[in-house]
Amino acid sequence: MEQALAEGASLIIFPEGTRSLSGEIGEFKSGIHHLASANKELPFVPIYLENLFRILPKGERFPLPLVAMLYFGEPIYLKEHETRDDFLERARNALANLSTNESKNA
Amino acid sequence: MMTTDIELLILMGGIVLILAIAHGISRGLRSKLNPTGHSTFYENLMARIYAWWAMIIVVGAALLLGKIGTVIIFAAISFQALREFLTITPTRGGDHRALCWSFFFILPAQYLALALELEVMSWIFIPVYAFMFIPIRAALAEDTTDFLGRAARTQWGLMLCVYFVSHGPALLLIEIPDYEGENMKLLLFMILIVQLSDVLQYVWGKSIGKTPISEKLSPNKTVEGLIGGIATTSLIGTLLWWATPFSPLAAGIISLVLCIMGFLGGLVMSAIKRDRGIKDFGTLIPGHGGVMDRIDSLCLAAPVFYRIVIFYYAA
Repeated sequence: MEQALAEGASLIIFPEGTRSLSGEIGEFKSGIHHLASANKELPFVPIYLENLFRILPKGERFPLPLVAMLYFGEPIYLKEHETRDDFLERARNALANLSTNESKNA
Repeated sequence: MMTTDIELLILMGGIVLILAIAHGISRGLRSKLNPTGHSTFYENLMARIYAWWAMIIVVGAALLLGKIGTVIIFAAISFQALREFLTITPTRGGDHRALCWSFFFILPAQYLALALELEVMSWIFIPVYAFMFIPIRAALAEDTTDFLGRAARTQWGLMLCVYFVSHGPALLLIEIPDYEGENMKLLLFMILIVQLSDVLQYVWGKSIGKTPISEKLSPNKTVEGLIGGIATTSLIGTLLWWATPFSPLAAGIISLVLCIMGFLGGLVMSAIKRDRGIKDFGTLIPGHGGVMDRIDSLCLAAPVFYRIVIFYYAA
């Protein structure tokens, strides 16, 4: 991954590492913190994928043809002296805020 | 089309001509209405005109392709409308299978019934059998939270987006004495009157509208717009009697009914949108809302029109 970033590519990361069973945003795995520690300049853009839970719940075979929307947030960076848990919590909140914005508009 | 129907060509040509004139006038008004490029009224007007062109292309394609083509086009409209409706309608994991069946079996089966000319099946399939199937499938998924509400929302989606919309192509199956092979004009007449009513209510409302009908539901709709729009449209409908099996008087009354049902349909859709806290159903056409926003007034008008034709004019 670091090699891909060094080559200037962007990565799409699913920090929960799985699909939610309840539709809630799950706990973030520590992978994005590793990447952030290796490169402090690296921006993390939160992207909320709306309706995916309804389109294909875990365990179902056929997707529903509902309309899915992507919501992009402001990029976040690892701060000086920020702990791993704080960073993951902040990243998760950034995503959760996008989902509440979306439900206000929707 | 089996034969070339001159009346149909005149009707279609007239619509294209009028829209072309409207398009020209709107463009001409650009400098006056929209010198800065930020007039929402002008943008809204142009958005409507482009949407009507799209609608004319769809209807024109239906006319060229005949019955089966029309059925397929309306099935596609239903599919997109149902997508939009269910996207903004909360359901749960337990509805997944029932919704899959709705999209991939109930919707195609309804239009297949029309393609195969199984009229009675097309009347009862969704209101009776789908109505039973949806809650059964959801109950089998053993999720009882908000059960009645979820079943009702799914059924509403099927009724509004599939059952009611399918009454458009269903018009082509009605056997009317001395009108064989001309039913396409009935479909065109219905769409034209409902859309004209929308447009003319908008134009009258913008010109002389003062009294809002419902501040809560549609603040843009006014009593003056409603009366002016419905009166003008009914008059136009009367003058188009030659394209229909109706007498001039009947054409006027039926147009009036279409206008009223179109208005009420729009009101119901507004209520649904308000309930869900949204302004438009979709974003398929940027700035114009979705398919649901374009066909809202047709939803309740089509089944009533269909019933009137069956009851008074069918063989």
